Amino acid sequence: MIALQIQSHPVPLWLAAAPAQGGKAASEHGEAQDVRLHPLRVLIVEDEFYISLHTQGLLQALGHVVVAVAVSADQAVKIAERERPDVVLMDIRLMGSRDGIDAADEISHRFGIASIFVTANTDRETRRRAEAVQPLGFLEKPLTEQRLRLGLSKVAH
Amino acid sequence: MPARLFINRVPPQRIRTFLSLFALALTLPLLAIAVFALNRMAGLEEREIERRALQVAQDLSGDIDRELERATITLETLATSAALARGDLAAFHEQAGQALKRDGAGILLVDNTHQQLVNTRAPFGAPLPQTADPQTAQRVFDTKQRQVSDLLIGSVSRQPLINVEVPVFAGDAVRYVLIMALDATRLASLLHGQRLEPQWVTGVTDNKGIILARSERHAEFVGKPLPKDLLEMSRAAKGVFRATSVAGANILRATVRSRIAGWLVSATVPVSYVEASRKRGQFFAAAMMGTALTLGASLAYLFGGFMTRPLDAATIAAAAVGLGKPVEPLRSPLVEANTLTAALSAASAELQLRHEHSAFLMRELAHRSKNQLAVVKGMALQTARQSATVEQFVEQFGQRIQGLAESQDLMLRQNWQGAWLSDLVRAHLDLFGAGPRAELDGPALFLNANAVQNIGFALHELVTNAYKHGALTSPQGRVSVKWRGPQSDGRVYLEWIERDGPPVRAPERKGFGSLVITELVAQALQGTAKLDFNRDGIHWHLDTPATSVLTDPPTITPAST
Repeated sequence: MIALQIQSHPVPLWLAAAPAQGGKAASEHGEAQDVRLHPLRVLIVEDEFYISLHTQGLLQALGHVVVAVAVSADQAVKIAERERPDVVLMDIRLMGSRDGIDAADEISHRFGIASIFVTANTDRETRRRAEAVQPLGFLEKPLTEQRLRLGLSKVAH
Repeated sequence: MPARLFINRVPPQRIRTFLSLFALALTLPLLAIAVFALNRMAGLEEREIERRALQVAQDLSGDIDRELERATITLETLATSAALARGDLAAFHEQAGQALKRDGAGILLVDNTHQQLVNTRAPFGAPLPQTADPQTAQRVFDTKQRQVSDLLIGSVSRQPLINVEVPVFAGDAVRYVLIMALDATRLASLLHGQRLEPQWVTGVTDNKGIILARSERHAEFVGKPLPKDLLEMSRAAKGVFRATSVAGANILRATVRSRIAGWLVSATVPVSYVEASRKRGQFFAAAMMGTALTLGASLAYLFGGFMTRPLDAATIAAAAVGLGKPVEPLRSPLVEANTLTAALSAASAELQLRHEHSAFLMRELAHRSKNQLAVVKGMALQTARQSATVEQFVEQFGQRIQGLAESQDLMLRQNWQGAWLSDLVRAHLDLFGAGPRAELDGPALFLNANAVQNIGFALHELVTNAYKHGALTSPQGRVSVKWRGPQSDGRVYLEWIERDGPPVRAPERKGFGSLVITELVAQALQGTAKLDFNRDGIHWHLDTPATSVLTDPPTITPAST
């Protein structure tokens, strides 16, 4: 329910940087063509709204579409099932009993959708568990446009 | 104090050493008492032997005197013989021969020229020599009394012998001297009359210091002079003394003078015999000492082992604690070591817990600090979007950072587990000095880290708004923060109610702050939020599932006040 609300009001959050004109920002990095032709539908899983807002802004600037922001593993699975995004930007540490690795695993198995882990410092054990899920990659927080673009370039259309 | 001084000076020792010293301390006084008692007993035994030696010498002296008396009586009886009185020497020879009931003696009669007239050792009528001891015979003529000779060699028998000589009177004058010659061997046989242990040696020495008889090796020593020093000591000392015997042995010697003959009658025992008791005592003491020391040392070693092994194990356990390894409590015969390792085991478990906890905190901190930077970056970008001027950005961004820091501080105090809701509300109110104007009401709820962060964001925006546009812009304005714990519906409610402020009307355009409190925070907590613009003041209402905001308060750290 909440995710739907957010999804239905992405524009007021981001004001000027409207998704339709996302190509303008991306063109400076020479990938405008690809993005414009193949915008990705992205699910953000992140429980810090300041971070998810930032990620949302970066994705829109790159010309992609944010289908929703989920704050927990269960929510992420539910939305993925309904929205079938092209890729999930997954925070590993989430509130609740399950973490992002669990969610990514389930989403990958059930819907064949790959995740990119977006995380702050990860210890070795967590990293090993995360790699077992065979994610598309790992992105370090805080995100930058360049890192994000590089990470998303691995997503198959 | 002396004990401490001693301990400070002595280098550290093993338990076994202390136990050995303990054993020594226990046994030495007992040993000392035993040695003293044995010594004392040996002394008494020595006194007893000395007393006995004197007794033996006195008894022998008595025996000899009696022998001499018997000889005297025989002689005095013969002196009154009728045959002798009438000058019938042949008859007297016969009579004298009969008077000698025992062997080893002879009877002689000499005249005043010391010529033997009768000698029972020779047939009557045979030619006889002069007496071998004219001095003693002459003394009888002179004194008219009985005399006893020293040792001499018989002129007929050629044997060592002594003479007992009595006068034979004719009127008042001494006509003859009647002599009984007693073989020295007779005296020697007297010495054997006393039944003594083989260690005892008895002897008789004449007035010239010549050995008359000896209970042992008589034939060898008879006629030999007593060593000069031994003779002098015997003559000078009354009673018992130690010396070197004629046979060259160390002896204890008791000497008594014969009453009749003036001879020295002695009883001797080897010093080794006298000291046998002392020697036995010393041997016994040494054996006891050896046994006590060996036993003490063995027991000290054994009991030391009982203590040392568990203590060594405890030492290893202590080292293991230092290395952060787990330690099992010991089950040894030593209670103290068991207690020690139990404490070490508890310490190691505690250390392990703390280690894990600090590792957890490190991981948590590493992650959170990086994650918080991402939050701050997002915060900066959002703030920048709504700021018309750099000054405005700096002010708003600074306040948001400050708010974030407040929430962070609270969590830090609770080991990153979360924070008490009342603490969180108060911290954000106090940041603006709004504490005294607010009224808090609700049960003690412990929020999880995510809820602390997000509710902190919401409270920050609410306080900021209250000061900018809401109730706190006027002096009468009040804020009331109420919350209710998890009800049967499993939800937590939080309300922010402003009143007594300036009249309120809904803004035309929603700002970012409004978005935070109505949507972003609620979404992050999987709940809903509502903002009403009542006339009296705004009313914000948050409704979340308890599971997404609450957690168990940490037991290690008490709740902040």
